[in-house]
Amino acid sequence: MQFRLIQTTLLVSSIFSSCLANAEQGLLNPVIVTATRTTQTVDNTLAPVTVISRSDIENSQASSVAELLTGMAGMDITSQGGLGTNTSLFLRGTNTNHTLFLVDGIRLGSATLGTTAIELIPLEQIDRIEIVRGPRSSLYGSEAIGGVVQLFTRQGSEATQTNLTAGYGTHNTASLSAGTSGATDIGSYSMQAAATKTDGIHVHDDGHPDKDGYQNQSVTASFKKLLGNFGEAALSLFHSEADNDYDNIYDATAINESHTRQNTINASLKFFAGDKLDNNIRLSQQRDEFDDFENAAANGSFNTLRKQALWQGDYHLRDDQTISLGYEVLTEEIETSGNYAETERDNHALFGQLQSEFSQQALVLAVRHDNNDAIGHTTTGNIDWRWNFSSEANITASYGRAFKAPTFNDLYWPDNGYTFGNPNLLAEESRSAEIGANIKSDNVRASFNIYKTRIENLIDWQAVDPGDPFSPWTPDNVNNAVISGMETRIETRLFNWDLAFNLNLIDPRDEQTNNRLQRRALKEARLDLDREFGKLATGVSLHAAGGRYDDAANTDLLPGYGLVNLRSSYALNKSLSVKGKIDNLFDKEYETIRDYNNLGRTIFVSLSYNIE
Amino acid sequence: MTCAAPHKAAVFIALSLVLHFIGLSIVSVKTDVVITEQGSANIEIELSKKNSSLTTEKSKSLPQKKPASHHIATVSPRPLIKTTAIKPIIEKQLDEPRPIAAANNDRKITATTTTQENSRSSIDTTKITSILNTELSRYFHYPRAAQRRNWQGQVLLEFIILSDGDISQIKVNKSSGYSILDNAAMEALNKIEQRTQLALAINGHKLAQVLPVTYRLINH
Repeated sequence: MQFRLIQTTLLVSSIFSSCLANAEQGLLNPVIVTATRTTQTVDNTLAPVTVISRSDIENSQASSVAELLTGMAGMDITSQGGLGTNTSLFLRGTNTNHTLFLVDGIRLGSATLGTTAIELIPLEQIDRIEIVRGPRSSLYGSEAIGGVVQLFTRQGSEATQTNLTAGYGTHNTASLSAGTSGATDIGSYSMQAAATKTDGIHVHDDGHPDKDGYQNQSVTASFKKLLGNFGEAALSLFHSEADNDYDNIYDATAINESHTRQNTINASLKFFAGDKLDNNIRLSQQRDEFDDFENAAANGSFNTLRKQALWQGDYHLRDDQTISLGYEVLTEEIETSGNYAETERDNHALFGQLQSEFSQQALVLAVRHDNNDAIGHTTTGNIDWRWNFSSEANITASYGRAFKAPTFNDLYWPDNGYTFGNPNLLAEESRSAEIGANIKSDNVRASFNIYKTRIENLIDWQAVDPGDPFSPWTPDNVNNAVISGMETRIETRLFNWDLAFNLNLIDPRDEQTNNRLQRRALKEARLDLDREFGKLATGVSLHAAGGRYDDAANTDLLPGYGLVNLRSSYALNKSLSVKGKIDNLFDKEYETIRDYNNLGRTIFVSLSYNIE
Repeated sequence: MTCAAPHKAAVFIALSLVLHFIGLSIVSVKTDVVITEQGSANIEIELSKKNSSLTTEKSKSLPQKKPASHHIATVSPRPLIKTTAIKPIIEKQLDEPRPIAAANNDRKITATTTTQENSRSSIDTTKITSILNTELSRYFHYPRAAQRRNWQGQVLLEFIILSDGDISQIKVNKSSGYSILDNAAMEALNKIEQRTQLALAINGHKLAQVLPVTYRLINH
């Protein structure tokens, strides 16, 4: 026999098996072809985006979404003080209910109140946060006026990972989090459980003089199966239960608390047709169940159930040209202790988007039509343009329209003699324009954006008869607002320090009165500095915010403030690390809402075990 | 699939492996080809040379892995990407003088010399590797559809380099699980043009080869 042999220095087993398979073949060194992993949201939009990864979250040691995001580009956050208390986000100066929050693609929040309880989102469950600033109703529908905050729960990857973190700090604050993720033959998985509790502080001077504590228990689970050429299937679950004590500012003897359950279920199927068509089908459900108690007696309950069915097809005409078409059905149902005239509404939406890249330019055109049972037809659109005038720099310009549907409370709040809803409300509508410049080089990443937004038909609750002090109140589309602003974000490395600087300058005005919108700071800056010294990592955050008016008339000014937070972590070994942080180092007393106390200096220490 | 003389082959391979490990630990130059595709356009090619310490580690695993391999007829080659090193490809005819005696005597220097002489006398393996690597890095790219869909994996391509330097009979030996990646790898191999140079290097022989192509997505 003519026996020919070619040898390599590969693993012996592979040599043998390759011989047995085909005695005549030699094995060459592998060619490794790599490309950057793409993230859908970030790469598909020309709008300014902030992405916060799991490791960013861990390095920041932030205990809440508010602490993580405050002072970042476009972000202005106020709170009633401490973990779990009511928190408002004014993204680019818009109202709290003008930012759309999505968890794994499904809306999170209450359809009666129209806001998302971001103070109750457990950061331990979050793998990644993507914040798109500017209007996105043309893709997501109602609420995306100021922007969209997308939260992604943890997903498993090929490597098996187990994590365990326990921490303790000021105000008897304790947290525990454990999880595991990995991949098996049938798919990748992730499971995480977390619990947090704190005694809190006395929140409002006029309320019951006890401490207002908070606790939260949460779990997430996800599973993903790759189906080869066909596509992939995924399932994710998120569940959180929170108990929150709060102060009744009209009755100092009352003890108030609320219980909130939030959960989402998300099943998705991607299927691919040839090289060019990617289909995405998603069925999701979201619940927000809020129960209020006063002196241990039930004091109202508000439950929201949303069901969403979505199909989106992305057809890639060329590598640099994609046309997308989608249809979404969203059903919102409420179940409340009060008697609302309507408890269900459907929203059907058809949307399309064209993304095109030319040699140095990119263009996105998007249009969406929503048909809502409560407010009828709304059409929104976006046009975004980018010019990459050098390999490291580009400029952008965009224009977009967005809307916000009135809430169930606005429309149907049952008449109790003091207040009642207005079923004739229109949607709030906005137009925004912006220009931006971005630099992305080896050592510097910087973005600068100037924007202007005008919002019409803003809903406000007013006395039916302004001359009568006992007149009942009802909402109406009465206000317009004009917001102009600029935001800067610079990330770089200086003398081995990682530096991230954010500056927001904003002028949010009521068009009629020319007053500044309530509780917005005109100036806000945040600087994060982090450095590693071998096993030790240390960092500092400086956050400064200008004054805010607590009232629409601009008579009650809350002064500005500056805060310093310190953090350090030390790797005891490959899998075990100890972390510690001091927030509000100089024990600064400040308010973002009149008479609501914020946390003074707090210390938190944690031990974290991660094994791969 | 069957092997005509598995036992004989196994003994031969074992012996010459020992020999080559020793030889290579002294002479080898290791090369990994990494092609990085940034977004859509730029392709960076990184040729890294490593020292030979890995070879010694691999030699240690030789006795443990050997017996099991006899019984696995269909296991596909799975080279470890990180530790993959040089593979000067050395072709030998059975009737050629073989360095088995040298290996038995455990004479490192003799073994090395023999290897070098052998490879020189038949084909210039280093040159073939180098030509293929340069050529491959020119044509291989990450298909956009696969990048978009987060597809990654390893495809094994088998082919024959004919005596005139032509590459023929390109086949997928083991699929990556995604036809787009398999096809892209085959297309790239099809485009290789340096026939004259390959013909010179191959020195009138015919060479059957298996090439692993690993597609991997990295976080920026």
